[in-house]
Amino acid sequence: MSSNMIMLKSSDGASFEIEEAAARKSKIIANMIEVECVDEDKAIPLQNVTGNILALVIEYCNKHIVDDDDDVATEEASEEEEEAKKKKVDDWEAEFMNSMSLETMFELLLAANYLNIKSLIDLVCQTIANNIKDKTPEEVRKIFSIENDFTPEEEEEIRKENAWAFG
Amino acid sequence: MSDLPRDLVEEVLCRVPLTSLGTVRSICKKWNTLSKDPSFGKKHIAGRQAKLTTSSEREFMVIKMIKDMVYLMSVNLHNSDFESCIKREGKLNSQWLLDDVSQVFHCKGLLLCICEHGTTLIVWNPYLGQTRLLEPRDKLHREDYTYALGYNNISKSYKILRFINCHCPAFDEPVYDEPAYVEFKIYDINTSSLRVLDITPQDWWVRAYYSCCVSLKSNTYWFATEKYLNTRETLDSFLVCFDFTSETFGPHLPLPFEFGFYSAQDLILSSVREEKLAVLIRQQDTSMIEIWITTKIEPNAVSWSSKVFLAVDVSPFACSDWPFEVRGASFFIDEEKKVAVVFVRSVAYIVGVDGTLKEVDLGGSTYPFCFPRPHLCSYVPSLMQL
Repeated sequence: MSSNMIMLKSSDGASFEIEEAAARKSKIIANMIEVECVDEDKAIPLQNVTGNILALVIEYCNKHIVDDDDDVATEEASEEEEEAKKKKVDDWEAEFMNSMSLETMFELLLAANYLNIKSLIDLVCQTIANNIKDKTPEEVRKIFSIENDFTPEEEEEIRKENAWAFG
Repeated sequence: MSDLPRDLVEEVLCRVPLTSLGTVRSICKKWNTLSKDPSFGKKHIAGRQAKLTTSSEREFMVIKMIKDMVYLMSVNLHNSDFESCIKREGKLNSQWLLDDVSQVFHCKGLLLCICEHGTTLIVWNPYLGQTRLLEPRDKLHREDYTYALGYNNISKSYKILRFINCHCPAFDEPVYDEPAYVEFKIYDINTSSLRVLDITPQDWWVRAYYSCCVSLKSNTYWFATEKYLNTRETLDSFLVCFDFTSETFGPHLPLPFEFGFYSAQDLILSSVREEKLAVLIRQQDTSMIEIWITTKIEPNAVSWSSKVFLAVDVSPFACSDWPFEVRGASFFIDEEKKVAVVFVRSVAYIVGVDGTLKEVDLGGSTYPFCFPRPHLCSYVPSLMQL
């Protein structure tokens, strides 16, 4: 069965063709399809997503739509097969995230949030959080371009407090 | 990240590990405020717990004392690589007040540290980085004080029990004299009030410095021994529970094996995922250990699984202290994985139901003999304000 294709248009005018099943990963697009406000000949305009980010979103959706199909087909898969499949997805996701800069991750997160793709929000948030792990405050500030707005007294206070926290 | 809306920043930050919270709080005012918001805490803790209990990585956190330092460790018995199934996550950074912790207790996310032989008590919420210093007015140092941290489910408050039920008799000996000094006091952490409990001396005693107590579902259970010789001319051993809601001790709770005297040297208690109680016993004068699990445990009732969970000869370990020296030892089990981990000082002994034995050195093993005390307890974060 060939599934319906729909068109998406990024904020900078790039058009992408995507399987409806993959596009439904986005709750926003799924809703649009439900209420039939998708014109088959017209692309859906996504004002807040640029072409290069939309390409990543589509790559993610395409990958995961295949996985969902697999789930139905191999309902009685053994535990080992399940684990092997999960590992394959994990590896793909790790490589997918590894290929992008932190700046891209932030943009991808905003796009995933706008399009309401829960699993992609989870993936990007976890990857960004992993960037905080095992780093000094100075390193984290540098990575995230955050200015230290504590006075030396406040900083000392925070330091004391966290002397009682795990670190 | 400053471009991200607040709810997305929160989504990211609630996925950092417990040990990175200190870093998050010291980045900037915005992050500090956000990470202390109760809604953030709830999300962070719930997310962690969900992750910890998914089948592939059922992991749990323990607080472990190594030398005089308190560490947070994660234990994942589902990891096929035994060397990495116990990980040091982080340590309590402060040494300046805690240089003489003799005992650590845990109940629902709060820790109670007994310092300087009981002259200083510290209540500590490591998740929030909050502490409260309690200095008992009576600076009396008594080695035989028994402490417990619990939670009253009706008044919704944490309480500390301190008692002395009798003068500890010589080892394995019955008590021939009436107790010279008896005291039962309870301290309410919320209201900072200390009360004397109207409890008559109990007919049992516990050896405070052995790991013979366990906190389970807000209450504390001890391994206890009869004070006086009974008509059978033997000293019975059993469990007793202090119910922090009714503020009373429950009846004698039988152990899973035949009644009779068991030395505190041969027996360790543990909680199983905060739901069941497990007891590890070494058969006297042998290197056979057995672990039994409850099917029901309440302050006034216990029933044990009819089948032993694990019965293994651990003599290959006998070159080290264990199993002949269990003072200060602790253990955890994973029923699904059919494995037990016994911590003795800084070594973890992993014992499979099928008899497989592994040994993991957690580091710092060269330190000299220290006073026996509970070295380890399970840990679940909480948002309780101090």
